[in-house]
Amino acid sequence: MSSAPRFKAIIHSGKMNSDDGICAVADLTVGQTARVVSIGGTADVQRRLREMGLTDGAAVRLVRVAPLGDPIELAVRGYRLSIRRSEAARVSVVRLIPDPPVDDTTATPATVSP
Amino acid sequence: MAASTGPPAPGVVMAGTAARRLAVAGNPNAGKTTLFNALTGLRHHVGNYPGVTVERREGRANWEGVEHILLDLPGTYSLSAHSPDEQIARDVLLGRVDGTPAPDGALVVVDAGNLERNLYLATQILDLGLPAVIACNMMDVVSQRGTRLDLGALGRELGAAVVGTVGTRGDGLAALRRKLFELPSAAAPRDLSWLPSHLRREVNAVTAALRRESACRPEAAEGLAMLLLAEADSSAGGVDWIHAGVRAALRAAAKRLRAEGVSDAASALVEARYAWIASIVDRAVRSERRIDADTPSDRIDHVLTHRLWGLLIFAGLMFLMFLSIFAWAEPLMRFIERGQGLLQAAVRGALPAGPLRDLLADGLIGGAGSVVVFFPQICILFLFIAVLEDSGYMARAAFLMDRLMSRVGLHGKSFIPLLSSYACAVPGIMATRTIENPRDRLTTILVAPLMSCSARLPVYLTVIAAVFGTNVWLKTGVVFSMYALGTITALLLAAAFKRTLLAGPTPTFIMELPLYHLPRPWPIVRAMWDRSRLFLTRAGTTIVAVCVVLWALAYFPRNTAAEQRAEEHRQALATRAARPGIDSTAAGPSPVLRVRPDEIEHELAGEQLRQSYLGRLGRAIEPVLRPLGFDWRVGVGVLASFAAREVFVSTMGVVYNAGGAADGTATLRQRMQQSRWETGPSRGRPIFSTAAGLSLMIFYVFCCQCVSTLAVVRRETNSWRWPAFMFTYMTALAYVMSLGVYQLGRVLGGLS
Repeated sequence: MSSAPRFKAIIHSGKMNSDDGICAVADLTVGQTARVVSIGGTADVQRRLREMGLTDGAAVRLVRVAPLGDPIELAVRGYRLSIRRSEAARVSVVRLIPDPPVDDTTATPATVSP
Repeated sequence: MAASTGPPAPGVVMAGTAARRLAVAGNPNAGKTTLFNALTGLRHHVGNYPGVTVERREGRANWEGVEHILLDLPGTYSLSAHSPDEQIARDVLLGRVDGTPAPDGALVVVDAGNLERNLYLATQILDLGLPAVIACNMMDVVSQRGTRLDLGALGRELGAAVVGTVGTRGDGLAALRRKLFELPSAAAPRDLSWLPSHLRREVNAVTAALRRESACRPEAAEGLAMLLLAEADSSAGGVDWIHAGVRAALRAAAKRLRAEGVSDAASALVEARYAWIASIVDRAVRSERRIDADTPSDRIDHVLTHRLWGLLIFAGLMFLMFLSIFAWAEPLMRFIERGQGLLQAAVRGALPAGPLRDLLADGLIGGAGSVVVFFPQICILFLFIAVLEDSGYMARAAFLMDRLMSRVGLHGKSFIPLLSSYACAVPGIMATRTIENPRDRLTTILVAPLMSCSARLPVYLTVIAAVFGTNVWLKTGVVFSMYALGTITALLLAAAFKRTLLAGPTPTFIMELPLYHLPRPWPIVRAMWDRSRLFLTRAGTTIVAVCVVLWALAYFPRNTAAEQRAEEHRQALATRAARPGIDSTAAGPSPVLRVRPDEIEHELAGEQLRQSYLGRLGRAIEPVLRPLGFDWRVGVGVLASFAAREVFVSTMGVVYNAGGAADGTATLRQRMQQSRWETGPSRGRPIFSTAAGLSLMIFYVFCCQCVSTLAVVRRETNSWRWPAFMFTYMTALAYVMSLGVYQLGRVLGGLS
């Protein structure tokens, strides 16, 4: 997509899994975390998704799928965003090695000062 | 607390006492309205911006003798013009909205628990060069998560004062007031060093053009240049007021960027801003947990959006909504009707008989009553909607139902408005305000009145009683069919409108799922009251006016002959009552004596209506309605229903001399069953055949017989074009469908 200079995006711990190629965010399994690689679609949709925080390099997690199969719920930048599969199909991501599930509640980096 | 509402202290320079205008901006769900209410108290003015249906909420606050006018901007995620809301927010901040002077400062409310995305809008606003305070709201959520937020560092990085608040508890309000009401008159210049050099160069070029053409305040030029650069390739909205020189500069900038390989300046700008924000947040926030870790809201959603439980709970909540309307609203409605009756009786007692008395009692009080009687239903629906919105569940309802609604080209957010329309289309239509896409919103508004509202039910029941008798299964089946017919047609038409009249790019469903929180009583009551009041004040006047006109049509010209006859009957009855010895059968050659006084009155009312302009109108349109199986009497009922559908029942009561009161139902049923065609080929045959009954009910399913709905659509779309279109298409549809059903019934023979 845009060939603007890339900025070091703030992403969370996790290493790229070289076996896993690029896929659409809609193709993640529930609970899986990935990093946004590119966004397609019309200019307006692209900009809207980026404005909502789905920028290149941003970490996303597929939180759940609606009971009727569409839309899906993503965790991005600390909040929950819901988009349809038709848009999600245009958001390309690269899977990150899944963190152990306990990470959500127990990970405590050394920087903490309560 | 704010000092005082007293007069300014002597010695204060009068020039300084002109009210300062402050814009309150923020993301949806950031707690903006809570803070706005806390700062302004009860002094609100709710209206619309000119030309659009974006709610304009203005409040006042007094700080040490200086009046401050606070303007609550619509909640948005950015200042680019995706939606009317965003366009208004941007144009207000730039002083480009008629009747809304440019603000002297801004309060930007951000959700401290969702800092990165909230700062996107906040920094866009700061870049417009307004003196601003940032309220970091919902600090309680942040500390519960064990995150530490360095507000001082945040303020230094952003170049604005930052105050931590908990809007729901009032924490931090005193500090916020002091900072906000003592804002300096100018902001420090913005530091744009975060922009990569090639973008910076183009922002500078466009900024220079803006300043040369004096397109905006000089301090706002850089921020506006970034918004314009991001919009150059946009199909939506756009800025129509910039000058040719600026447009040329924008084209040149886009061309240079393309030459350097940046095809999408908009995305590049968003990426750069987010990268900057991420670096700020990195410095100001110390978090002990991953920011996308499961929250309590996620655990609630585990149940509420569950494949099975989520849908069951949703269905249960919707059921509860309708139950509450019937359980709570009906006693209140009866109470209002009784009050209306008492008031009418009081007026009749106080004034001498004549047109003025009848105008007041029947025209005005009766007309106002027909508005007020729906008020409890509307309040309860709005109460429910406010609870769903305030708790955060509304977004989940859209999440659950989007798949269904997308089948007909609508948005998940259209579901609740359409469902509410089963009770009454008025709150349903007013609830469409949450739908951002104007086309989706309009489509929802246009089909909402096809959902069978509660005012149609008495009509269905009256017709069913006359045509199908009292078999409860048959009755239920027919009513259900009518509801299904309206619903299916609404969905089909929504799909049709989206493909033709309101065709456009497929709307996107990009929706935040906010954190849940316990609904708070006061904001909910307030939201309910604000909306319900709008119905009374804005729609109410139109409705009362139409009701008075309909009353006059049914009242004039007076039928003096019938009145005289009725008077003779009354006197004869009184005389006989005074001489009880004489048996009524032995009354001799006197005119046919009515046994009961109310029958005299019913007959008089019937004769009056039949002779009135409305009655004549009914006869005049009989040729048009005859192919639908309606005679002139049904025509009078249909015409009278344009005030409100349930008026059909009382009008039929009057037409058939059964009295307008509801207790006439059994009599009314018999009279309807006995009524025959007076003229034409089917003379002498019953009017209320099966085919005619179905035709009549189907007419009521489709016909737009509701002044309230039209008045509200006028208000919500800001033009008479859409209510006119709605009226035309619905009435045409009603005519064609009824015609089809009646004629088919006649052909099949057995039915007619």
